[in-house]
Amino acid sequence: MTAAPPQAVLTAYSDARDEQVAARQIAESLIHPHLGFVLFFCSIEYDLDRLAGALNGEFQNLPLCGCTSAGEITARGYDRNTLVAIGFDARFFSAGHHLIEHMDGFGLLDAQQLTDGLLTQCRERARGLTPNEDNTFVLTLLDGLSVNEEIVIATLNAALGSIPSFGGSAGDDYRLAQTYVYCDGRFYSDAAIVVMISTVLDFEVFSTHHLHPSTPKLVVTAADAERRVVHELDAEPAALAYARLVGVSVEQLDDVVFARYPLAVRINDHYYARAIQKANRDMSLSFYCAVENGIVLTAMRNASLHDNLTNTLDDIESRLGPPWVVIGCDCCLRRAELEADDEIPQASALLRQHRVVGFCTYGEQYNGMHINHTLTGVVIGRKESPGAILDVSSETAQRMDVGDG
Amino acid sequence: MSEMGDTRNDSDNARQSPWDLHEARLMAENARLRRICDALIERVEGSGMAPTAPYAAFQHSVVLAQQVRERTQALRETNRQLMAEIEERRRVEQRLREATDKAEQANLSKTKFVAAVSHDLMQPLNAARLFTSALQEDFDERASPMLNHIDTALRDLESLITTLSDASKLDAGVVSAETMAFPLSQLLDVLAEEFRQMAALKGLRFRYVPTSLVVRSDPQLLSRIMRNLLSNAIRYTDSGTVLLGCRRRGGEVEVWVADTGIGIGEDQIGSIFQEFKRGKRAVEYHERGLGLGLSIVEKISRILEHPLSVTSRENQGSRFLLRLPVTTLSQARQQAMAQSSEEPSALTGLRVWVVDNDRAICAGMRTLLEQWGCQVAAAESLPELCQQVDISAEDAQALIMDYHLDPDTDDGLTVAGQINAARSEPLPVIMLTADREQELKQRCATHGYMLLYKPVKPMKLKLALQHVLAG
Repeated sequence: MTAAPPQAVLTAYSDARDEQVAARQIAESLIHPHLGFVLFFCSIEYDLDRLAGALNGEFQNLPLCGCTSAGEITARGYDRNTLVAIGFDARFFSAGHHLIEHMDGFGLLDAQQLTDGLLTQCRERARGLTPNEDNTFVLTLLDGLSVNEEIVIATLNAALGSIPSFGGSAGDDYRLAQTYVYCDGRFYSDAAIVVMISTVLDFEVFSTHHLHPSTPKLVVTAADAERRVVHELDAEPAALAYARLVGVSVEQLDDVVFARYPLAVRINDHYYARAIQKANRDMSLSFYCAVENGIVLTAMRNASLHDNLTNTLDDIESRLGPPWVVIGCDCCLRRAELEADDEIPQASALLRQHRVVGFCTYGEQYNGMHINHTLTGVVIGRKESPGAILDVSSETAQRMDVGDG
Repeated sequence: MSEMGDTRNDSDNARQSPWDLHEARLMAENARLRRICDALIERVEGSGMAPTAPYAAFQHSVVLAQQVRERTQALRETNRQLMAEIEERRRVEQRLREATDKAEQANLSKTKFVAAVSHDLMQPLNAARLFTSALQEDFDERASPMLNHIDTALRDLESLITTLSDASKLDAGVVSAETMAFPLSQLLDVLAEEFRQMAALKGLRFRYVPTSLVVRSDPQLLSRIMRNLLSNAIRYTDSGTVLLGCRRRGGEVEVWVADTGIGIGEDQIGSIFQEFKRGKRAVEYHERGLGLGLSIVEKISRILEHPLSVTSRENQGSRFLLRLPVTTLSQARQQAMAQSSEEPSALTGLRVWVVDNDRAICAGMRTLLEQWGCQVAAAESLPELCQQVDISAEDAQALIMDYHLDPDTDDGLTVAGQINAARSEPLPVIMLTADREQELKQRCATHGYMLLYKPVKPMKLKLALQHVLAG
């Protein structure tokens, strides 16, 4: 292992049910003298307090961020009930992170201070690399049931300027009860984590989906914008109108139907899916994203998810070369669709082939937009940008000496 | 909610007529459409507001992101075009560089060719001039004008070749200044005498204002400048005066060459220093000129770092002005100067040995030197000289040595060294060459040999011999 060339990114997963065991397995795979930052995603099945304690014990003072999921993407592909993590080598990456404890009330001033703070952290941890829009990206992990994602993300994006950003909303395995983000030793809800990563490696932030518009349209005629609930579509009970549109009875409405028959809003020439979370007893529909009275929802048709994903990643890899890793935030409804179509094995093979590691989300974020039904993430290539060599901080250098000795 | 009321009405009026039913249905549909309309109106009217609500924030972000994407696309396209342009320019530059390289290569070979040709032309010309010089001292009155014509023609030819050769050497950048301190009059007095005669032949007055100042310059290169300027002045002046004058200006001395000739038009004064540029009227006056004279003057003045300026008015005359730095002579040099100027010019009885592989030059030298009263031993090689004289023991006062002897034999420097090595008292050596290489000049200087360039003018040779005797 020591003779091998440096691994800029290491990934590991554990399907151990015991929090201590899972944390130890992850740590054993990831910890090395140059490890600078760890990102993880975990199932809601774990006892989160125990997991937090176990992770703290294993990784000590290393910066560690993560969130709960609606399923994980590990080296096996689509996975469940696991802990999956990515370790970043400090010689290639410099990371800073910040917790937003209360998502409501997050203003532009907060966003600006947060951005400045992250830039400073990145600069200090990477001597010789000045974070800018070409060598830095931002990852957001948000409470997926907070209904504040849009405002937080839009506000943050205004402060980030042209630094690309992406992220996902934490999940809870479809319980739709409580989602959590983790940083600095504990899990939080109604919170968000912003991670800024500067790197000497080539990377590309992307977002892709496989939906195409069809003809039928529905107008939201009664909605509760605060709670993301649509009561009426075309002045009819929403569940009824939607069920008739897709040709099923109201009783049959479930994740698979929502996954197969998405609705989207059109803004200028592009369509943005508005994913349905659940049908309520009062015939209303809850969404994973912001809705409002008067918006027009277009019925979408699903093309091949497999082809879309292949094309997108092949295209990026034609520019960057084979990746170290692809961090993916994958909408939970995509997985629901694949499961219903029995296509999980093929999709998992594709994810493995492209070294995708990540989690199933309750919503994705991409450059300030909160979106659904997408795979959004970053491809991290193996090529270093010319002339950029990351100075290892003295702290890491010392650890390296210890490790070599 | 109102539609609940509608539904109840429907059931209440179930027993009404089909028309009523139809009307009720239409009213319900109407109400539904109105509600859709209201929602849309609300949406349209609210769309301009600040994005404080979640959906509006989302929509705002989307529009922003789309704009960014479009602009990024446009920028990328612009960038791509710029890169293509830069690449194109780089290619053009590369081609230009190649063309320049080729042109420089061609220029260099041209320069070499011209240098070689002028060298080869100089040899027979040198011989011819020596002969005419000898003839002029020998022949009677009747032949004299014809000889003068021959001599003039040869001189013109020589000057053309020298000009070409100079120009090519200046172009090649092989000419460098060897500056020394010397009294300016030493150079100008000789020139003044020479050109006074030429002026007299054209019926021009020649005024010379001498100076006692010592300057720092390269006498040979300076002489080249002055000759060019003076011969131009005489050539392009029909009547009036040619002035060669000096005037001190602070730490410098201005040397003037002024005339009352055709002058230079205002429109041409800017280009007179360019190669092959000749004034319109200059062509009428001197059809054989190459138009290189002033460009050579300008180039040399730059090598010497003597600023050159010109003022002129058409039909009234021109004035060229050269500025030289004034300096002082060292003690030793002053004495040497004094001695050489006191030396009598008689060469009678002088024993001179000549070695030149060109038979014609040997013969010409012999004729000329004998006319001056010298006793001459002329040979085409060292062995031949040894047949004529005993080089180790026989008395002699000077050795005139050609530098370029037959190919594959020792050069003049080596031969002179061999002769002097054999003698108890070394002979003063005058080295002749058409080769103006800096290196040879230095080698002669280290040996203490005097260097004369071909074609050798009789007057120069005479002065050299006198100088050698004095030394």
